[in-house]
Amino acid sequence: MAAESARWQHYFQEWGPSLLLFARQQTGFLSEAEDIVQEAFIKVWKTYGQSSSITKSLFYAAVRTTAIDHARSISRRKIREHKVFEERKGDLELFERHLEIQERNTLLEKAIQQLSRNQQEIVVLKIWGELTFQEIAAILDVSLNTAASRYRYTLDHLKKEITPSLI
Amino acid sequence: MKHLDEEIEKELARLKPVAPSDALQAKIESALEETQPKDGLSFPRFWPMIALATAACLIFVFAISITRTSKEANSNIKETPAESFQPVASNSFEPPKAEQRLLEAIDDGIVFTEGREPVRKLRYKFVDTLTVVDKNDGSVFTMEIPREEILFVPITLL
Repeated sequence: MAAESARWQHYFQEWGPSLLLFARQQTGFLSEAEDIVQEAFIKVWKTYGQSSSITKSLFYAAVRTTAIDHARSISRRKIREHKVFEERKGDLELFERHLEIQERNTLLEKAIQQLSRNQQEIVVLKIWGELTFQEIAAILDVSLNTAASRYRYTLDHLKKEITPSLI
Repeated sequence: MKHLDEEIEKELARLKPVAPSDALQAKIESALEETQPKDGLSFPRFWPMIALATAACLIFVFAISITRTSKEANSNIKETPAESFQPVASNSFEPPKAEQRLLEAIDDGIVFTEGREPVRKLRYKFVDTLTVVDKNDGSVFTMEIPREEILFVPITLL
């Protein structure tokens, strides 16, 4: 049991931050994103916990599916409540803050948040999920070419937004 | 151009996503503990006994229902007069026209099932229309039967 606990904690420490980022990108609310990560983690662990075939992409796929299920079930009222609560909390940062590069980080974060949902999804999976285009294509149910071109298009878009200030 | 791409990728990768809270980790830990089978009551150890008990119950219920049915059947036998029943000639109907209409195809996404590989769930909603014409009086019967097919396509996540 202790070994089991150490195993999942290892995955959680390693992939938890980027999974939470992906879930937040999917839902927009921290509290709901945490629920989604929890549910996805349990789903994957119940199915694959005993085997050695656990991969990062399984967790990302589970987060995406769970987020879609949540989006279907959550009522509009609940969304409004969440939004008000989250705004009051001021808990909108997606990334850790480092004082010396705060301005640059804020600019990048803003640029990411202005991307479309599809673009955000692909950039999160590629940069912080460190997944291959093949894995991303399987998770998003798009072709390999679509995944790759969407990513490049997103980078181009980001470049336009932030290049004058960063480079 | 490629240099610029790499620069931006590096800039982005330098951003570290906010780590999940300790509370979330604790919640997952307790949820995972709850899903662990309890000692002495684990399903895999007991399932042969449960299966045997269920089979015994089913045989018992089946035996009772057969006995009752045969008794009721014996007591309810009646003569049916042949005149009261006028069968419709089976060849009086034109061969039916059948039509299958796809109303909606829904992709429910990837589904995780315990102990199995993930699958993609696809739902197809159809309406089957069956039309029969009676040759004798020209009457037309149309039946519309809604139908839903659920397809599970195995997927591989590398």
